[in-house]
Amino acid sequence: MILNEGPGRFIVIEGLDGAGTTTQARLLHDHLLKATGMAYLTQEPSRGPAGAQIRSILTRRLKADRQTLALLFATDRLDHLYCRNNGIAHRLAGGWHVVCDRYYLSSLAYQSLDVERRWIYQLNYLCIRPDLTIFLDVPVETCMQRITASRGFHYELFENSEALRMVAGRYQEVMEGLRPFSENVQVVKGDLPIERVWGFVSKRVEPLLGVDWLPSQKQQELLRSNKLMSVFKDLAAERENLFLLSIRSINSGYQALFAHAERERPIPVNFYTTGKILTQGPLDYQLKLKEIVREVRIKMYGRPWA
Amino acid sequence: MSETSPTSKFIVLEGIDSQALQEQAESLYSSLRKDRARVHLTREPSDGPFGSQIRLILDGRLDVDEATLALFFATDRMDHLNKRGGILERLESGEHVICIRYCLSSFAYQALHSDLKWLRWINAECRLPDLTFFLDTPLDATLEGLVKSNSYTADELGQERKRLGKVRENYLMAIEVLRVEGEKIVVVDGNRSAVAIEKDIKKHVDNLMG
Repeated sequence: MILNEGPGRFIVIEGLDGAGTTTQARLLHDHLLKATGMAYLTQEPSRGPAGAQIRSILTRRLKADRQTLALLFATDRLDHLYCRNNGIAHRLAGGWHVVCDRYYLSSLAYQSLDVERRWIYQLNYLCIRPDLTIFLDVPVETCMQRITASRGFHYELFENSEALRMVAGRYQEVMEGLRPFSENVQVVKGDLPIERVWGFVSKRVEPLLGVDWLPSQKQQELLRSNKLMSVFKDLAAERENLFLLSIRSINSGYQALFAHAERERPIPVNFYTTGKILTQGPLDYQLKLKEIVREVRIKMYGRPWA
Repeated sequence: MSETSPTSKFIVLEGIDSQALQEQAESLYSSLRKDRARVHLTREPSDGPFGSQIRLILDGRLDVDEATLALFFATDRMDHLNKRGGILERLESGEHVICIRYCLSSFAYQALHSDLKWLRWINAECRLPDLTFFLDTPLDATLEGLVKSNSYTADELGQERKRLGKVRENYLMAIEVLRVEGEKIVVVDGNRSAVAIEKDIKKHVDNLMG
């Protein structure tokens, strides 16, 4: 699997059909959007050409065998990741936090009912590894009750308690199997009221975003001093050294600035200069950062806007 | 890859000159028919739902990443094999199948952009052909045929020459690897008259059929 090098974080919500992945993915997306201004919600099967065919197969309109389906899921996933206009890889590189409802864990669990798991792993070899996968742990009986109540069409092919029970077993095996490969999978109890589950989910996501991060005393001093400004101006002057810094993600923006100022060596900086910049944080930091952004914009564009 | 069936044979034609492949496949098909054999002629991309997506991609109408295209080919291949009335069912019913292009095409064309090891992984569940012909046509003749049906600028022609040259190299490299693993692959000298090539191919097929 390929590592996510984007400044954006890639978070996947997994679970059995009826586990509430769609609901929690939406809550997470809304939260990230509010906190950082750059979040993108998507799901598998994707809305691309292969995703449409998968949906037809799952609803039994298009006939295809299980090996073909496993290949088609991998096809759709690569397309979802790398398609040129708005693939996940491009979003991550552009600083968007991507929340995906289901990903390769679903293939490893669902498709391995019919085909060898090692082969599924190989088919998905070129996929980007998520920074975090949250597995919503819900008993099969609860899932079946929820499916029966809502009649979602997504996994009709697998919507019976026997199949779901087997898939649940596969998920456990897959998560065990991936543990040695530094895959960040966290299990969250999912058969509770939505708000409580969301509470668990948001706690797992926090460390990833540094939402609770606050500048240390030394960092605060640095930020207030003009030293940081001048360091930043130098960076902006050498445009080829400007790569990745999502100033929109305010806390990671702080962290990057301070990390740079402390180490006195270039960090990747890339300026996102459209839309709202600062939505939270103490007022004086906000003003200071706005000032820095303004300075850098003038350096880069010759004017204080993008 | 899965085991082979004893009675009916799965024969694949490969090469850089699609026109020549089509001609040779058709003449092999009719000559086997003359021998009163039950035989089916098919090609990749298939006529199925995934084959039609591939055609849109190759025509430049649908834009996808190169690795995605490689997986589309593998998906279409699996469907082509497994679908009702597909290659496997026909072979099981005692019919011979001639297929224009198969896994080796992926190992030659998609290997321009993707890693051969991965391409072999994604095609690992495909049934092995009983016999593969690689029609080794000269680059110039192939390009001449292409110029007749497409309008190329001198620059584009140069690029196409380079690309096809690389594809041919990929073919020969993959053939070497597959032969070591025991696949039966015949390299046919394509720098001869169509009739001479036909005879050559038929001779090998007759040997195979016993």
